[in-house]
Amino acid sequence: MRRHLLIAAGLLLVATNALVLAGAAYNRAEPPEATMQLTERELSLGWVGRDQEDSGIDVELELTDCRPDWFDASKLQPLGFDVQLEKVCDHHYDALPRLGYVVLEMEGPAWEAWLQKQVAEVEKAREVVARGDREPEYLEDKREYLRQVRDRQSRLLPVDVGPDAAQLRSRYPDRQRYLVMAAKLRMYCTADAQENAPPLRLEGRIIALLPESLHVPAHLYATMERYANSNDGYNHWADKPRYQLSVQYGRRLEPWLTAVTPLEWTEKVAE
Amino acid sequence: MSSEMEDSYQAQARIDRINAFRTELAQLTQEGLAPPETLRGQWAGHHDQLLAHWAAQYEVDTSGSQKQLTLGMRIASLLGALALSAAIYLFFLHFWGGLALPLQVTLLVGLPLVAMLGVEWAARRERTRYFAAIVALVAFAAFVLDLSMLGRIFNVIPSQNAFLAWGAFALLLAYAYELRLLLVAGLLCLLGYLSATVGTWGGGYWLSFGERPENFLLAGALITTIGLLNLRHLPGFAALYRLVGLLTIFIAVLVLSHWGRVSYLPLPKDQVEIGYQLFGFLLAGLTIWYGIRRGWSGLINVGSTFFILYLYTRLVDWWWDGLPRYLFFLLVGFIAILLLLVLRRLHSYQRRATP
Repeated sequence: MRRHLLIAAGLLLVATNALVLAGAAYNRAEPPEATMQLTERELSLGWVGRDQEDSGIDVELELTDCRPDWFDASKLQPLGFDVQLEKVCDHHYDALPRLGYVVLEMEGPAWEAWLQKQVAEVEKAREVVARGDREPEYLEDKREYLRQVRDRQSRLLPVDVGPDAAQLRSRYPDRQRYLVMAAKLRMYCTADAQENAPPLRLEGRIIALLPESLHVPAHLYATMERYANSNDGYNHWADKPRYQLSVQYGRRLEPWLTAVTPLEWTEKVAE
Repeated sequence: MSSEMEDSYQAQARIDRINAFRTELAQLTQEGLAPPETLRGQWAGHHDQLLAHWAAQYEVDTSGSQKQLTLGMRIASLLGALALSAAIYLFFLHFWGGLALPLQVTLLVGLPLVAMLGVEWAARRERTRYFAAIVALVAFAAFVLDLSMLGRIFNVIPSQNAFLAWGAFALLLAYAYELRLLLVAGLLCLLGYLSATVGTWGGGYWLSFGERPENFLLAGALITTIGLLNLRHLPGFAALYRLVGLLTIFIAVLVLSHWGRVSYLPLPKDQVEIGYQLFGFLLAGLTIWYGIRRGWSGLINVGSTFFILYLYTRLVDWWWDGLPRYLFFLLVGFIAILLLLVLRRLHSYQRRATP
């Protein structure tokens, strides 16, 4: 009996690993679902420093705007959320997050619109300061934020969401501009302070992209380790990105890194 | 099934009865009620023979001091297992980063396989299986490391299926070597898998299964049921099934009795809370009753603990804000005395019913 159980445990080990490796091979089979060039702006080494107990290096996918305006009840309902406003806005109600798929656009029209929005904020701040309603530092803060957005913030913005990845891909066929990824999504009831807007509305938020981080493989390890150790005076918010990574997404929407290109980051941005 | 462990379990039970008998016999002798010398000699000789036989055949405790040493060895075995598992996990984490992919995969897949063979080797060489238990937990930890790291290396979108694999592996080792620690590890993994799967039935994301305690009730009930059925359980296994299952249910009910908003039930939260409070008391009472009926002290202990926990949390909820603190504790004290009187009455009733 013991022998049989031991053999079963061994077979389970082998079979499970075989399944995982086969799944990875299937995911990476040609052609890739998407191919993209992302810099440190989109794939960062994290903000809290390296864990000294862990020699592995991961880069985290950064997203700009996880609460897009378009993610309303019309997008929430197909995902399976119960969009009854009164029910959701009852403070005793707590909707569970759901798995869905999100389309991320890389430096496209959504990014341009986002930049223009920040430029408009700077113009508004200029008028406010000129009127004397705020101190000049307010305008400087807005300008600095615009610079950070322009030069450091991730250029990946969500442009759509849905329950069917294939359907989303058919709507956004450019595999070098658009990523379709699994994501954890949640529904909230929010109060809208704008004039002429309904007092309460439903909004969706992207809680987490799946997977959220990408492992740095062995052939890129030496290069990325230099950046991960961060002993070259690099400032995440002030300096330009140091590297560009080639990313591919597979049939199971699971990504992998294929190449790294160092970038010149020491030149300071003009004020 | 007459496994070696089941025989040693029965041998240990008999040894405990023999020691208790000898203690009582010594007491009777002191009180002037000693049996005839020849009879005492026969008993002593027979018992000495039995003790020597079992001590030679099994790893049993023939005295109180040996029992204490055994407890110490069990604690040491547990601590050793946990520490070695952590060491192996952290050791891999410390060095794996720069290794080539084939080497990473080979190490991850090979380590639990080698550890599994190590369990068999240790079990053949040492009948107490303390070392086998250590190596078995290391094998389990290595399998957890294996799948976790492969998931990280290949950027796999996480799912609850890993819990199923880990749980099955732990249970197979637990039953192969009769290791209770691995049984608990396996049950906890299966609990996670079942609860996460139940959570996805409602469309929720699997990792959020902890946000709805009701996800745990089905899994807890299944595990408890296995412990209640008259199956050919290995020694101590049935009690662990009951313990893990009941703890799961009781804790879930405790949470729901305080936070009704996290329930699936489409009812006002106050009604949900009251419903689960009543259910909790009923379940605790049933557990105590069934434990008394079957003579399972584990059930009685778990039922009593949660009955008291439910009662005291209710008292705090009702009276803590409304009463002066001294009055609150005075009332709690009186209720405790009342409980004591009720339980004492039950105790004497049971004594009269079963002499």
